[in-house]
Amino acid sequence: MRRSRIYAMVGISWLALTLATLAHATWLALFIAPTEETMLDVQRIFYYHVPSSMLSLVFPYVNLTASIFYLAWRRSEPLRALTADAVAIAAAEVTVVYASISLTTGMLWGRAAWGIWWAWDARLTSMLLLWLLYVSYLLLRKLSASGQSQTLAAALSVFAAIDVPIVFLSIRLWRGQHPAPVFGGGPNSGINPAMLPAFGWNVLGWAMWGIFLLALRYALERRRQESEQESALKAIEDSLEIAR
Amino acid sequence: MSRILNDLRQDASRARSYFGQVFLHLQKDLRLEWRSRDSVVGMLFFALLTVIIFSLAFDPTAAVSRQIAGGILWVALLFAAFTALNQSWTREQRNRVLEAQRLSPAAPSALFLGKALANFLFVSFVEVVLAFFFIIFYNLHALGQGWMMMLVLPLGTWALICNGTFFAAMGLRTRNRELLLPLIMVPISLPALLSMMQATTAILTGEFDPAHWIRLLIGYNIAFTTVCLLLFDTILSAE
Amino acid sequence: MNDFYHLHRWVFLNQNGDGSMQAHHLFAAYAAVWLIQGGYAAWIAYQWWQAGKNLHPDLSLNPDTNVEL
Repeated sequence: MRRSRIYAMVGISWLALTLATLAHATWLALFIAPTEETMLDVQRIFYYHVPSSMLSLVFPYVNLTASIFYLAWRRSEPLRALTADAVAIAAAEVTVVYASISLTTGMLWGRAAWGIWWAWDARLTSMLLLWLLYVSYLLLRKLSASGQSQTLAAALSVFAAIDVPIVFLSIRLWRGQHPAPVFGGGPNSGINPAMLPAFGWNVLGWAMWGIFLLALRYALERRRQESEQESALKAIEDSLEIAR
Repeated sequence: MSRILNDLRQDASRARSYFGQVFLHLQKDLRLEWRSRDSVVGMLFFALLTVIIFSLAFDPTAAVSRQIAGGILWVALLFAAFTALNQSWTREQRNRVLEAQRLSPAAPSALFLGKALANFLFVSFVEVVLAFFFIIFYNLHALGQGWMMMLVLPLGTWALICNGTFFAAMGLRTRNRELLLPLIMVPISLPALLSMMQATTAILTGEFDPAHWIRLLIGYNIAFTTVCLLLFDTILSAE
Repeated sequence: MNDFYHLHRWVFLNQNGDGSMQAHHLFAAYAAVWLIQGGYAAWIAYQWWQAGKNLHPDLSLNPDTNVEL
């Protein structure tokens, strides 16, 4: 049990560090960052919204990498393949969480700043489609037959990861080459440098939180796998008992 | 069915090449469909009904119908494709053909390609008939370059059918097979659907250039056809 | 003037004392983020505890079982 103790200690320290970073980042976002002229305080949603959007584009590729390892290892090293699979499903769920946050904060911001809950603009639509892709991954996991779901999901993961850039490209093409900046003061369009610290700390904090969630979900998945293997082992043992 | 298998066994000795195998699978599906014709007829009727529902929903004038016909066409074809795709694999399950396929040395991707091509032909047939109905119901004539539809129709159909056949195979041993297919197929296909609808609208209204959309469709098809061929063996033997 | 009143003023009203839809939306956005993130983490923790109940750490193969195999 020593190893799990170490994991618990590392986990709790990481969580503490993450929460401290997020607290600092939130404080910067709410009180230190300058108030924007046109949108006033509601613009501060930006400090939570944009890091979440950025991170929701990173986790799909963690899912892809894990899925590829799973496919590569599933025959040759089945036990290692299970760890890859646990990372894959953890990354997919974290993607959906971050995409949900991006959509929710985007909608609240849009409602306050422009009076509309939703616009079929490039960014919101692309994020919605990203969300749909990974929800469909989770649905496949849930609905598919038990022995197969890891392999099928790994295949779907490859499709989804290839689709992500195509989605962004096609929606961009749909809405025009240079979409009107829906959210003024985006990171590439002359952001006020005084906003950078709050922004940077939030990116760091939410990335750390994402890693924490990934690790936590991975631990859960491993526990479930262990429990499944134990019941399979028990079933074998019982059948041996009967055969005696 | 057994006569077909007999023919296949005789042909099998001749068909060692990859495309020979693809052609065999294609022939088998075409022959099976020709016997009952239920899949194509079902698709046709379903697509027609969808078109009528949309007409009742929007009651479009001639100008409006040119704007929306592209969208309606592909929605109708998508729904029609769903009905056919699930059926196309259950056919294989019925006589334990899939087990035989897995044991044989034939390339599994050849089975996929043959079946995808067969589905492509069925849906294309439905498309041609549907296009005819569209022209009648909406008094349509293309204001843009109509010949480009000859590009858009097969590209769009292949995008739907290729992924659709793959995902239908994924759902084979699943409880909620019919539910699963649209749920996993549509999100992946959304960029392709957008492209084919936009390209069709561009051709019908003549208001913008379909070239970008057609290029996107070609890129999409190349990417996903490759992925489907590479991964089919994996999901067929997903145990 | 109880504490809730002051808290409400602190959260929702700006320097000039006028509240806005903006401040409500800002608060709602930040609250939503913490609800979703915290809720998800809590859900995982709960499921982890649930999965632990089904684990039997002292399960081992019965040594008498497969003597003749």
